[in-house]
Amino acid sequence: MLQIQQLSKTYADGTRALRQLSLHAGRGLFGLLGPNGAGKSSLLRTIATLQSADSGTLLFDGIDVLQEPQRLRAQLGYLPQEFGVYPHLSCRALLEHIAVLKGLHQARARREQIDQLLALTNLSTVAGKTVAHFSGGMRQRFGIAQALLGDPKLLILDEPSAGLDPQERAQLHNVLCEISRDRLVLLSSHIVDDIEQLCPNVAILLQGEIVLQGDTQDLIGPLCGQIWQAFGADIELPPQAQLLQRSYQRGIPLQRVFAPQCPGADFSPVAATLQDRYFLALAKQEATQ
Amino acid sequence: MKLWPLLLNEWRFCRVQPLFWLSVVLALAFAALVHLNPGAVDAQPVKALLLRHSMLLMTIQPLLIGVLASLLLLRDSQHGISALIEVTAQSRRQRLVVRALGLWLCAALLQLCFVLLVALVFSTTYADVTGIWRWSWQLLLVQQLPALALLTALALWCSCRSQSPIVLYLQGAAVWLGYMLLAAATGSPLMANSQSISPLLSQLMVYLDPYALTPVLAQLRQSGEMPAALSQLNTTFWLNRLLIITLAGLLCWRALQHKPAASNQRKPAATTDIPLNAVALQYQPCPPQQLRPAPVFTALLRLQWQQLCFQYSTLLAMLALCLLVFSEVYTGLGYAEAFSQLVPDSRDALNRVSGDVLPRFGLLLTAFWAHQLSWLNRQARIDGLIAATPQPSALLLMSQFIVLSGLVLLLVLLSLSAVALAQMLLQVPLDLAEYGRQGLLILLPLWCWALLLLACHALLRQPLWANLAVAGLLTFGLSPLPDLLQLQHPLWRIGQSQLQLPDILWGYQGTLGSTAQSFAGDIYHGGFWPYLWFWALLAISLGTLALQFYHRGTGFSRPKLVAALTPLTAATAICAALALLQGLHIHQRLDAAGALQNRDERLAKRAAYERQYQHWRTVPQPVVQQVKLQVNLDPHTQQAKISATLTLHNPHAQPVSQLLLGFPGLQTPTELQQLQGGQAVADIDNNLGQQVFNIQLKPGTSTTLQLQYFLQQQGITPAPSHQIIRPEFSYLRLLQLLPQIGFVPELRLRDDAERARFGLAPLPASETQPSVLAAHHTPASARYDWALLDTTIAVPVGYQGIATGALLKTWQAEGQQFFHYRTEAPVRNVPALIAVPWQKQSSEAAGVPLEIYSPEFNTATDLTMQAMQQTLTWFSQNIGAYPGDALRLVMMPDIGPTGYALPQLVLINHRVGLRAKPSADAPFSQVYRRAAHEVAHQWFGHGIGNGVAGDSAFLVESVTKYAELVLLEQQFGVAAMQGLVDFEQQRFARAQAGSLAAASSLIDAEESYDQYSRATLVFARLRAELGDAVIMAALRQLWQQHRYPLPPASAMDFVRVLRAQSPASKLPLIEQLLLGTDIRQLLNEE
Repeated sequence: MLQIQQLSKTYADGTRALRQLSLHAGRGLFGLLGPNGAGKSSLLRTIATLQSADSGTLLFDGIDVLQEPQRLRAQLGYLPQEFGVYPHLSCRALLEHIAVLKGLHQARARREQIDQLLALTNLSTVAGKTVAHFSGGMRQRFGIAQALLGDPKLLILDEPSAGLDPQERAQLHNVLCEISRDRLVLLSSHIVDDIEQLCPNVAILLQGEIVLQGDTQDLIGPLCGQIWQAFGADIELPPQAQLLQRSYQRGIPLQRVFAPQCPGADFSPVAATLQDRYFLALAKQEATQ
Repeated sequence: MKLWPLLLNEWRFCRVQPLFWLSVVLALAFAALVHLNPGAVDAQPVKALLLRHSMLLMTIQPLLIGVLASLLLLRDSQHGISALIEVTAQSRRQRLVVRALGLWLCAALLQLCFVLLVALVFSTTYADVTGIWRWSWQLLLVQQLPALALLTALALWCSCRSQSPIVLYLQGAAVWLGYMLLAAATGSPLMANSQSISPLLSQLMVYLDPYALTPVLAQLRQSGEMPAALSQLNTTFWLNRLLIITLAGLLCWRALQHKPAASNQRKPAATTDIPLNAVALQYQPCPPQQLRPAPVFTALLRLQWQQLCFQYSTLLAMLALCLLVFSEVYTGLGYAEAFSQLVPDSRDALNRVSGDVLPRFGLLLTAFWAHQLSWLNRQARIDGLIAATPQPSALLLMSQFIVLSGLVLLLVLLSLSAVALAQMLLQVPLDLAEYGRQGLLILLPLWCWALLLLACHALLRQPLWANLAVAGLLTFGLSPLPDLLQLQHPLWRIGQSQLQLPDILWGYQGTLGSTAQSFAGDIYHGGFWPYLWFWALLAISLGTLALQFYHRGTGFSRPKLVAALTPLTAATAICAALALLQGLHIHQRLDAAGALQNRDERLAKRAAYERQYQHWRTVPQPVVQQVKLQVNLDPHTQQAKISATLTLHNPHAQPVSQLLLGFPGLQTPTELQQLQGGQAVADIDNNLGQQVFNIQLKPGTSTTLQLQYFLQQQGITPAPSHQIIRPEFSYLRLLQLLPQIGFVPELRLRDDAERARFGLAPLPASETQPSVLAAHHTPASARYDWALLDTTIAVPVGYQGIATGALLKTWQAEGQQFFHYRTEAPVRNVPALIAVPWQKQSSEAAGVPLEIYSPEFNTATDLTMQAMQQTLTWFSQNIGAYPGDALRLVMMPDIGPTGYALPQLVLINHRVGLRAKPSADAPFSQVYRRAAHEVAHQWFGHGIGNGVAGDSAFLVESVTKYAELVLLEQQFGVAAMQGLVDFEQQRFARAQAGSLAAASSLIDAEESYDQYSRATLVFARLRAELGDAVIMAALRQLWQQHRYPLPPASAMDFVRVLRAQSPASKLPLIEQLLLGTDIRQLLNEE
């Protein structure tokens, strides 16, 4: 569905946000991982037709997005990482407004979908309240609702679970899984767990480049049997071991490493995760610099 | 609390804020551009220093503090960091004190820069460098720092009451505007041509003027000169400073006492009690329909309208403008001039605001709303969501334009309603058609601006750049910057036309260029529509460009465009081409009207003229003996064909072999000229409009010069004040057209600085200073330029043709009415003619026919006729017989002067001469006074008072003030005369207090307040000390000894005859009043 070839973007201050980036994504949920400043939002904004690229091609379902942005917008749902709302407008009124802008001209159908989305995002009881006074989580749910308005074939969600509590997050996952059956959902998140749970396909973006891309399971598979963890802060690692993460478990320091063989007596093998793949990619990137 | 580290912290914050630097740089640039140019050397540098600093305070500081206050005082709430700052160890009061102090220091440091710059500029211009620097520091200390403290305290108080930056911006704008209005209402010299409208207000300003200018001026009005040191400023000044500092302290105290609400942020809507869906819901897509613009457009309009209309700033701005408009109309509608009330109508009511208040403030509000609309989505941080919807950019932009146009329409409607309300309260009948006309003339340019400004915001991706571009456009559209940069072309005044206020006498003919009474005017050649077309086309072309390059409200780079010829690109190209063509059309018309020459170019021509032709002063030249004119004037087509025959006579003992003909304006407008017996030599100077003829004119012989002119009035620029051809009023003073013989000394530059700029030595006092040039006798070069005038005017039937001389004959032929006038004796060679479609009222006095031409006749015209009769009779009895055949007075439109006299003709502005009546408290009638003054010019001005190059206006304007005093006393009693003296005394005190001119004697005076007001006071004093008999005897003697063809009189001749007529004991007084420079005695007279 989405084909990106050699996409580059440099901002006026010299920041190279995208460097010859190529990416392919079919129907379903597609995860985009990367640290802050990796270029995720730049990529998503470019796909969402909000900014131009310096070079490269961007095709969605046969539409040349860079040349015909209007055609893509007709089938786009977009939730930016940060957004605001107009003052004084109720949740329903603002959804109505955006729905009209999205081309939902039949009042009845529009109302029905808005009601359904309000229910889906748990906003029915506050539909008449001013969105500007919503809490962070409620506002995020409103953002998801507006992105789902209409029948978007491409759904771009930049950090959709930010500000949601665990229950809301689970609800969101349900919705995303359901809707991704016949459309492409591009999901950008810092929470690797979310991506791992939801996305069969994933790409890792570092410094404007895709460093890894593919089936999530295929990316994790090669790490099986090579991920180890140990409790303790001052455990020495052999040279062939790559420290992936230092964290805590109930206050006790925990080290997670990648090594072909067991790196020490304190270590025990654990199942590989997408997060391990992500940290390994980050570590490799740091090592090459 | 350690203050210094906290202040340093403020500085660390400020130095990285672009808005801070932008404000500072703009303020400095504005100050440098507008106020720091040395300009003319003023005679009173300390007063100039005071005025310049007052101007800087008035124009810059309120706006600067308004902007910086939002940055410094509201930064926590604006950037959502309140919670972090409020939990620090610093108390709220400490925080406020430090920030207010920081704000005051910023403003003070900038003011210090102004002080240094102004002092440096003044130091290079004036000799007393020490005095300049001393006064600069003292003024900074006592004038500027307390004023800045008050402005800072006000901003602090406002910031504690409201957390909205808009409130602070509006407060800054209100102080800025409010002080200007107060300055105008109290006759401050900072506002040109303003006068005090209320003594109480002026008195209040003495104590409450934050910039302390009013108390200094009040002291100047008493003493007549600037205090030599700060210690000599009177107690009123110090009381003012004390009050201002106290007020600042009070505001600070109130601000610190103010307790903010518990939280500025609303409580978020509750979420915890909302149960999650127990049953998983399914997403049901709703496929969008085919895009239909109408519902989307409606939704966009509704939302944007709601967002803008229900903002406090919008409501407040609308309300403020309506109040301003109402107060301007309600308080000023009946004002014609001091002691004179206008009988107003709707046009007068609308004229109070349609020329400046509404267009200017309307434009500022349009710019403000354009900014809000353009960046509405971005400010609400919803730009990404909206930009990603499938709506075409055209629809988004069009909706903005419609909403902005609607707001402008609402603004104009509300303002006009405020005018109508004021009019109804004053019981003036409403003329709704006039409201419609003027409303349209205000609306159309504002709509053009709306499109232009939205296009700027749409094309530029960053609000900062877009706002800078808009600020640039507004600066060129509203400020005098183009003039300061010597950009003479009217198209530099962005978005402006040459529209002038309609006049009740000639409707919109002044600038719309209408060839009939129609409102529509001339869309090709008028002064409004061609400009409107130009700006509209430009705005449309930018608008269509914006449709293609619109960033859709985000700050990101715009999507790439397909390089292809689309209907939009074609529309842009066509509109731009049409705008270019229209611009060229305007330029050509302006060029044809001679309106493109700037002041420097004119001065350079005059300097070149002096350099190249001054040797002709010694070359014998003939004089004009007779001027015969045949004029075919068609007011409807705004054309005139003039055939002139000048009889040139050689009065010298030697033959005239060469003739220098100079054409006024140093241009050659003639199409054909024939000089009998002459032949043009190679020296034809088209640049300076000079032609040299070889001629053989023996002593005592004459020859003729024939010229033909064709005049086509150019409506694209306002008509020159003495060359108007319009259906309702036509007036040609032919001095502007007919050639001048020989070198004309009056064309030389007089100002020393200007002469130096063009490489000319200063003119000697013996040529420029009346008391020196005629110190002992009238200079030998003096000669009368008088001639017999014979004028035949052809006008359409129904029009009156009016000229100088006796009306010999009038007849009709070929559908035209002919009038033939001839003077029986030579008169001053200033031929003029007037054509109006009105009737006349006739009378006579001392055997002289008197006529008044007016669209209507009322008590004002009766009084005018009475003044003509009585003035003519008094002069005939006491000075000398009327030097003419008839006297004709014609009402003229409101084109500047209130009265103007020509030989045997008088023009009176209808606003003060026809439609005015004395106010209830008037001690005298201005209608009578003005008519008497202009009639008196037939003796002093066009009788004697001409013929001495370099003489002052004393014999013209000052002596006629004496006639006013005598005639008012004679006809209306002593109280009326004393009323005039009191009035002129106040005018003089105010004008001289604000003047930067050097003190001069009345005889040498060049300032109008000296020539009129001071002269009134001097003659009142002379009357009291010498008596009318002595003064009249002196005037009579002057008349008898110097009237044509005797040698011309100078001002000093009056001094000599007055001395001769007066007792010896009064000679020192005469010396002091007429030749002395000390005015204190006049100021302290009550």
